[in-house]
Amino acid sequence: MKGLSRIAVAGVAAIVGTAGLSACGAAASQKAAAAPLVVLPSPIGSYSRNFNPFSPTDLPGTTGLVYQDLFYFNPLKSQTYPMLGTSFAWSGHGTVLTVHLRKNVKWTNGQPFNADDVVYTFDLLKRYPALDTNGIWKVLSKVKAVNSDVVTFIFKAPNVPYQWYVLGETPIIDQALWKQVSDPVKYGNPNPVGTGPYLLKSFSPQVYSFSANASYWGGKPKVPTVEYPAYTSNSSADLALSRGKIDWAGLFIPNAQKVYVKPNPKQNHYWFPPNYIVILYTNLKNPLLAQLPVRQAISLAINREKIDKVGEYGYENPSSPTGLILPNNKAWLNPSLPPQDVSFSYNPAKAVSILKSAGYKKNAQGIFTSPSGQPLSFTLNVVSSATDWVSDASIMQSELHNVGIKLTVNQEQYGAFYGALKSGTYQLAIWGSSPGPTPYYLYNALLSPSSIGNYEHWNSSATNAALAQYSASSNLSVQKHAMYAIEHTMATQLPSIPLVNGPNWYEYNTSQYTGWPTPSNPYSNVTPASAFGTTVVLMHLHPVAK
Amino acid sequence: MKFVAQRFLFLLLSVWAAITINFFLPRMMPGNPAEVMLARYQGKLNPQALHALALQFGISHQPLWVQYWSYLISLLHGNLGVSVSYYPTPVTTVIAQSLPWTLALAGTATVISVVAGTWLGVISAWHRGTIVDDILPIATTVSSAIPYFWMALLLLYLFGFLLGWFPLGHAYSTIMVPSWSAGFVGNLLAHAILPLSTILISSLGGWLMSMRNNMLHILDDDFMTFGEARGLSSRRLVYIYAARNAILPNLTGFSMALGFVVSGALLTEIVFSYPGLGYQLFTAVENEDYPLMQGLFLIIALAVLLANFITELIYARLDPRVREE
Repeated sequence: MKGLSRIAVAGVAAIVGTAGLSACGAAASQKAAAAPLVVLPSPIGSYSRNFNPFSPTDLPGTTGLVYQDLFYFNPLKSQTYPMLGTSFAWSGHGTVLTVHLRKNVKWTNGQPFNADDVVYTFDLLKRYPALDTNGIWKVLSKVKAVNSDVVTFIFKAPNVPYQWYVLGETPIIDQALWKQVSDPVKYGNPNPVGTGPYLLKSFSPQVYSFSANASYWGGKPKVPTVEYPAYTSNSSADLALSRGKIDWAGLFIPNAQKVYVKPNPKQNHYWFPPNYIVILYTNLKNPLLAQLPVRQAISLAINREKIDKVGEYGYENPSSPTGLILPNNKAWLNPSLPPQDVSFSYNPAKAVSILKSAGYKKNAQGIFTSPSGQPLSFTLNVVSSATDWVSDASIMQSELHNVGIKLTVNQEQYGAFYGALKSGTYQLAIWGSSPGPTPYYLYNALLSPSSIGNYEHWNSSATNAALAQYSASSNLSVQKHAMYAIEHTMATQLPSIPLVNGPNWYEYNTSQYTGWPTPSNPYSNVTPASAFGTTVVLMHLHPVAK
Repeated sequence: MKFVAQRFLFLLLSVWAAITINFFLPRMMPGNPAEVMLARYQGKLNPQALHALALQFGISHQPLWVQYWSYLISLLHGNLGVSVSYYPTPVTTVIAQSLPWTLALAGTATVISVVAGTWLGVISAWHRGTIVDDILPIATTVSSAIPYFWMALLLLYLFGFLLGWFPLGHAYSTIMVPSWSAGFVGNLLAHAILPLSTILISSLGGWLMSMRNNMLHILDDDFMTFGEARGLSSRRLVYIYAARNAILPNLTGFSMALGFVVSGALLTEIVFSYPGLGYQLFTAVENEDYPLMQGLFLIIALAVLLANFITELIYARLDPRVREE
């Protein structure tokens, strides 16, 4: 007994010792300044120190607060902010992009920023294709500095829409510092040096913070400290949010009005603007789904209002048949489209009549069969952890059953789900889409035969021609007419079936700071998870006068 | 010596088996880390990123046996790969950050639970027939019959949420900077009390019951009666004669339990958002982070196997009958 307890005591001492060591090494920082802005983009249990702006898992704030892009494209309305660039122009029939850079910008280590940094950034992506997540060098052939404040990008073929990836989605890094990095792909960049309005102030696995950059080119931000605490789950984060411990969040909250706003209606606000469209992907390699009447019947039989109200807490309005994200894309909507092509109608009776007139007949089980005798019975894949989509799937299952189409819901893990979606070994699937600042990006990802996101395998020469037309022109009216053609195709040909608008989660508390984006003034993307948009929001915020 | 060599050989064989299963299992799952990542970040990453991600994660199309061989080689170098969910942090770093918390929480809980449970078992057996022996076993049986995650939720709700005596989660307050100051250590302890009590309450009963039952056997032995007749003090009789003999099975249990400490009190850590290995395992499973899962399983398997090996050695030392077989 004696011997045992001695061992035990020694063990405990050793254990406490190791825990203490790691805790000491974790961080050293000053005392927190008054009224930090507490931000929670999404719950992450504990942080690992990754401020590499090219990494898909960089910590929120790396891009935006520290590293900046050349321009910021606001997805909520057609609006462009000059950041490190001041102006850009296309020439050479959409193959040459010339960018003028901002003068007198300094990195936070005091070194001046110039065109060489921009060229170095893009060359780095070329040397390390693993960093080039937007595939820029598939279309770009050369980047060169004309002088210290002008850079030109030369494309292999006309590709005007790539301006977004080049100007708006590529963080510019400091060449002097990054030249010393041996493997930028695996580099965690523990002490980031950028051009943005904030500097890293402290880091620990449970919280990290940024402090205002006094020499920021846009003026010193009015929010002195921005803090990112770690929360392990949505529910613990929701709790902290409703207790006013978080100023700006990008969280899903069930019954936001009741749970979040009602306890403190003056200061707690939320707005969930549409960000992408949720699509019922129809695999066109399937001979039944390749038939337009079948896709039309499925679309007509789905009650999107019910999906919104029952499956999605009323946060996700029905999409437009055009596939446009409305109202964000309203400037791009063809004004002469008939109303049935602008908004969906729920009409199960019409679904039945369409199938009947196309020669489909109900079998003994009440399921429609094709003229060649195949029943309209499909498997619908959905990611099991996307619980809202799982309930949407069961709503669709019962609605389609009512008109004589059988669905079997198949819940899968991410890996299995995406593998089937990508390889085309599925029948129906619920999945999102890839939006951009104009409708082109979503359409191109969804409909271009060369896009990985063309999961339904749509290939139409008319669509390809319209996409190419947009690509080759920086003239707005040419671009609009190209988009009008695709809007019509989406609404009448149903390459896949839009369901509801997927939102961005955005909650904010006005007790410390005001100036937040609102539905009447959507000056920037609202979620703190949006990389480059966060800077624009932070620069608009100012302390509440007390 | 032959016994030790034999056991050591068996240890090596089990470690090899664990590593091999650990290598092949995730590769039998559909999808690869790049696709999982793309799917998880849908909206943030566009599908074009797939190629870049595949390069980042070093997704290999080499034959399986080549991959297996390079996996073994990198294991020998202590390289467990790169975590997908904490990319580009190496798995070893993630484990090194979480291990101390788990050791501190589950380790302390196990040690306290064994010591207290064993001691209470002795008391209970010695005072058999009295009120102490009526209450203790029943109370602890009830408490260990309650599933421990449910106990965790209950404690969290009562003392954390309703009464507000203890924090709701984490290992320390996010506003604090880790240091050796009294304030921070106090903060650590305040955060540890609820998860610690959860494990303690639910595991105490097992130790108590096994010690009590062993004691009852020994107390009936002739040498105890003889010792009592010789006039030995009851204190000496209980601790030196009875408990010393009865503790063998508990000692085995203890060293086994130490092996399992590493796997963390999975559910307790999840309920209290405690940043230990159990919580990491949970997030790794949730994110389909196979490299991290593999690393964690490897650590857990190694710890259990090692504990097993050490137990066998200790047992052979304490009980010569094992050695002779």
